[in-house]
Amino acid sequence: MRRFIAFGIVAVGILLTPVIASAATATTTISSQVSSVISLSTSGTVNINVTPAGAGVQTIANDTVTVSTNDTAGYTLQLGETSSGTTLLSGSNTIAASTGTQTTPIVETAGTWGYRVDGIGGFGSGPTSGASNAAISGSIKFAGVAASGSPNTIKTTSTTATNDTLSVWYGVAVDTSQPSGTYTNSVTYTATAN
Amino acid sequence: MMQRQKRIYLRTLALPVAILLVGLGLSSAHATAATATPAQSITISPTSIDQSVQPGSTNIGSFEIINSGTTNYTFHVYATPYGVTGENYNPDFTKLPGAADITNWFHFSTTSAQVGVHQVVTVNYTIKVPVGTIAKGYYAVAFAQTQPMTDSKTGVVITDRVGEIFYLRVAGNAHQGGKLLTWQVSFLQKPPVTPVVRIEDYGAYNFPSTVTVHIKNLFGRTVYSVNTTKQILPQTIRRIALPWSSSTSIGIFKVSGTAVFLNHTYQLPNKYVLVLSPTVRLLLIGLVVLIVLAIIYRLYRRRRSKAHGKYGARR
Repeated sequence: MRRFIAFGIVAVGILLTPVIASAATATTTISSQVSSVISLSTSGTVNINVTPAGAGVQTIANDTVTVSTNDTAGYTLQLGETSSGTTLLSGSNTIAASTGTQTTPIVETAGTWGYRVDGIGGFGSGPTSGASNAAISGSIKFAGVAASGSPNTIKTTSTTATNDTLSVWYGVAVDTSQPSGTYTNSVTYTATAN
Repeated sequence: MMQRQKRIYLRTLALPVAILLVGLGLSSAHATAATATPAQSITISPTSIDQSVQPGSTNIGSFEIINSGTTNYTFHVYATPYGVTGENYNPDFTKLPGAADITNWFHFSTTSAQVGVHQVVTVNYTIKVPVGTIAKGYYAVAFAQTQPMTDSKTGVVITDRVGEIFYLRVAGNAHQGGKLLTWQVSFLQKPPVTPVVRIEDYGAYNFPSTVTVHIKNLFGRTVYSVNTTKQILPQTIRRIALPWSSSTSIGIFKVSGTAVFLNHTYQLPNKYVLVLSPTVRLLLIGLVVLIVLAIIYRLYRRRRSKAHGKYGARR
């Protein structure tokens, strides 16, 4: 009887061995290629309406720029003019670009406009806050937006980023000598992987 | 008695804690509202391509433009030269001196298209490498740029552009070479701790370099790890800074890592960093000044008491 049972166990073992062996050696490789992406989001238009008064007033408004990338190299965000013009234009009337630069920004004078980003270049840490028809600030400094061919770098990162936000402030200062009208200028944000 | 005091203490704390929690809840809700889907959003995929091409060959590919904003828009597609300036690799999209302009190699299936909300547009491209092109690296960017919205034109009108960088290595008799120049980690730093690697490409082609950095505390626990792959362009030096953005205000850390490029792994040796934020430095200076003043005062008092003792003895 014992011999019979032992024989049975050995027989079943031999029969199952290939099954077990094949199950143990079967492998499946799961492969997935995740593509790199970079996203750039903005408000589309920054309204900087201003009603002139006295020796001059200033309106400051911001645009929130959001960048995301899964590229481990990080990204660089730049700001420059869209075309060759640097002034805010309304027909033949203009509001000149600030003569300040990102490294050496200046306070605005009546009849100028510019941008600033807290904490970069020579802008200082701020924090900047919005203003509408306020007295021209003697301490908040602005720069003219760089030409389209040589945009200024306003942020760079070294690795991936998810919904990285940056406030870019735009300011316009005018006095009552500025002709009324709708003044516009177009700027371009550029986001590329590093 | 102790138990009772504890209960009173907990009750006293309960109301401010509840107000704080509600406040936090509201502030997070406010934050959610503030980060609502933006009006204009453009995404490109992939962000770069690094490929070897033959002179006289035609290469095809595609990239996708995704609209994840809340408004439809039209975008334009075009190519520009790609170069960098300085060791920080500031991108430049104009033709730099000595560099070739290869934008005429590119042909796109569409140069302008409209993309609806949450829609994807695939742009096919063809790159024709002219016969007889000298073997070396050539670089360009394919941009997708939004067109200004026409319904609101007051103030500053924003256009956005995102680009795919093309690293094209034209095959032939050209060499590839690079070396690790420096591994810099200053001993005394203020936050963020910033290890820096500088890599030089002295060859004719770009190459990718993967830098990994680990920062450990004195107990050997890894507090920060970062891994990044960056292209190094020919005849340039790239400074790769890897800041630990959430560095603590004070502490001693050990920094190490590797840099891998051109089939070689460079070990970045251990370096120690003492982190002291400006506030901590001021506090330490204040403490030192206080200790010095205390010592001076003690010496003054000791001399004074000695002098009193002498006078007392004379009397």
